[in-house]
Amino acid sequence: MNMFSTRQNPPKTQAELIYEAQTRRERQFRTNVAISWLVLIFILIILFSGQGITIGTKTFSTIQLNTEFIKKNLPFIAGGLGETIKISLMSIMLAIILALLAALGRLSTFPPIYALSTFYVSLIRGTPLYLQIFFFFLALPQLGVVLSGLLSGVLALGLNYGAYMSEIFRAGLSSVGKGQREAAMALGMTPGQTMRRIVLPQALRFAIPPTGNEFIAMTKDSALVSATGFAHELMWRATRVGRAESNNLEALIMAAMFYWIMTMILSYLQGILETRLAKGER
Amino acid sequence: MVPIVKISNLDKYFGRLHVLKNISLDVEQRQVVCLIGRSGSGKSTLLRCINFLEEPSHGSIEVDGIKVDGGEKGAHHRQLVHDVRLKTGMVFQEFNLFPHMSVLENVIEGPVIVKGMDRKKAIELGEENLDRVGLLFKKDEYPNRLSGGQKQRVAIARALSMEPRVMLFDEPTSALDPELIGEVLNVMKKVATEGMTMIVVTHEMGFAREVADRVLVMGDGELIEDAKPADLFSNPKDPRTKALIDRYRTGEQ
Repeated sequence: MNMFSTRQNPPKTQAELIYEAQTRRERQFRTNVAISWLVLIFILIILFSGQGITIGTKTFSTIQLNTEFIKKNLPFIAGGLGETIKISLMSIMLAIILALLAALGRLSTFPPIYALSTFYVSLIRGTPLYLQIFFFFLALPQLGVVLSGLLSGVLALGLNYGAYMSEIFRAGLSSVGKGQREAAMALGMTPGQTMRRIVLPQALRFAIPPTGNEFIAMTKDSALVSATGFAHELMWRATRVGRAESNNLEALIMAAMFYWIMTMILSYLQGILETRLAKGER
Repeated sequence: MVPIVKISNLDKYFGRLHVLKNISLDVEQRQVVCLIGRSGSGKSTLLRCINFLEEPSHGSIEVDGIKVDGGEKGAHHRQLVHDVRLKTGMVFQEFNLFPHMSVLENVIEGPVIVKGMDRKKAIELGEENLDRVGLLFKKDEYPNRLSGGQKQRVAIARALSMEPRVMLFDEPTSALDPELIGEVLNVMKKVATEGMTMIVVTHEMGFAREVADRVLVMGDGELIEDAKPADLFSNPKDPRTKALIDRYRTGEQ
C-alpha cells in the first residue's frame, strides 16, 4: 500500500481524478450555456433589426421598430423605474412585517390569534391580487376611504405577498431547534429575550434568500398597480406613450427590457447574498 | 453545612407516566456528583428539573437558598424559576451554541442580556472563561467552524460566564466522537478541581470513578444507590447497579 509514498509527487488518487473530471465537465457545460445565450440574444437582435436577411435565394424581412419613437420616449419610460422600485420596496417591507406577524400567529397557542393569522392568509390567498388592488383603489372610496394609486398598490401588494410569505417565516421559525430555546432559558433569558436574541435572528437569516426571491417577483407584479392609472411606474408609462402614438410594440418592448434587466441584476445580487449566507458569514 | 442543592420529595409525571418517584437529594457545596443509570431511568429528567427546563409535578427544589415548589404557576413562580436559573449553569448533550453568534458573543450573551452586565466587563469575563477551557484563540470564530469537542468547551465557558453556584451537565460527551471526549472531560475535571459544585449525568464511568465525590444510580425513576465511587464500583448493592458496572467493565477490556 505504501509503494508510492517514497515518491516526490504522489500520483492523484481515484477520488481526485473523479473530482477533476467532474469540475472539467461542469466548466465545459457552463461555457456552452453562455455561448448559447449569446447566440439567442444575437438572434433576438437580428429579429428586431428591420434588415432583410438573405439565406440562399430567399430573403426574409425582420421586424422594423420605430427607432425615432424609442429615442424620444426612452427617458420617459425609464423615469418609471424609480417608481417601480419604490412601490416594490415599500410593499416588501409591509409584506415582511405582515408575514412575520402571521407566522408568529400561527405558532400561538391562543385560539383567536391563531385564527386571525389563518383567516388573513386564507382570505388573501383566496382572492386575486388584481382584485385586491382595485378593491383598495375603487371599492374603498365608496366607504369614504380614498387612497392614492400608489398607496392602494402598496397596501394590496404588501398584504398579498405577506400572506404568501408567512409560510417562509413559519419555516424559518420552526428551523430553530428546541435546544436553542432551552439553552437560552437555562441562561435565564425571558421568553421575549429568547425570541428577540436567539430565535428571530436565526429565523430571519433562514428567510432571507426566499424573501429575496419574493422581492424579485414583486418588482414585476408591481406592474399591476398601473391599472389604477395613478402610479406612474414603468408599465403605466409604457402603456401611456404606446397607446398615444400607436407604438405599443416599441413601448412594451422597452418596458420589458427594463423589467428583465432589473430582474437579472437583482438575481445576481441574490446569488451573491445566498453564497455569503451559505458560508456562515454575517 | 447547608446543602447548596436540596431536592425534596420530587415527583414528575409525563402524562400518566411516572418518571421520577419521590426523589430527595442533598448536594453539598463543591461536591461533584455523577448521576448514572440506564437510558430511560429518569436521570436527565431529574437534572432538567433542577433548573426547571422540566417543571416538577410535586415536591420542591432549593438552590442556594431559593426554594421553588413544583407544579405552581404565576408571576411569583416564574420569578423564582428565573432566580434558580441564574444560580445554575447548564451544559447540554447537543452543545446548543448559538450559531449566529461568534464564540465570544455566545459567552457574553448571558451576562450582558440577562444580568445587564457592562459589555466591556462581560468581554473580560468571557475571555477569562474561554481561556479556562483553552479556546481563547477561537473567540472570533463561529460555532460551525469548531469541532464537537471545542463546541462543548465553549458551551462550558458560556455557562461558567453566568458565574453559577452549580453546574449541571446533561450527558456532555454523548454526542462526541470518541477521540474528542477526553478534551471535554479534562475541562470538566479542571472546573471540578477549581471548586465548582457539579451534577453530571453521564455514561462515562471512568470519569465518575476518577472525579466524582459521589455517584448516584437511578433506576426506574428512583434513586437506587448513593455511594462514594470506590465503594460503588467495588461493592454495588443493587443488581441494576451491578449490571451497569459489569457492562462498563466489559466495555473497558
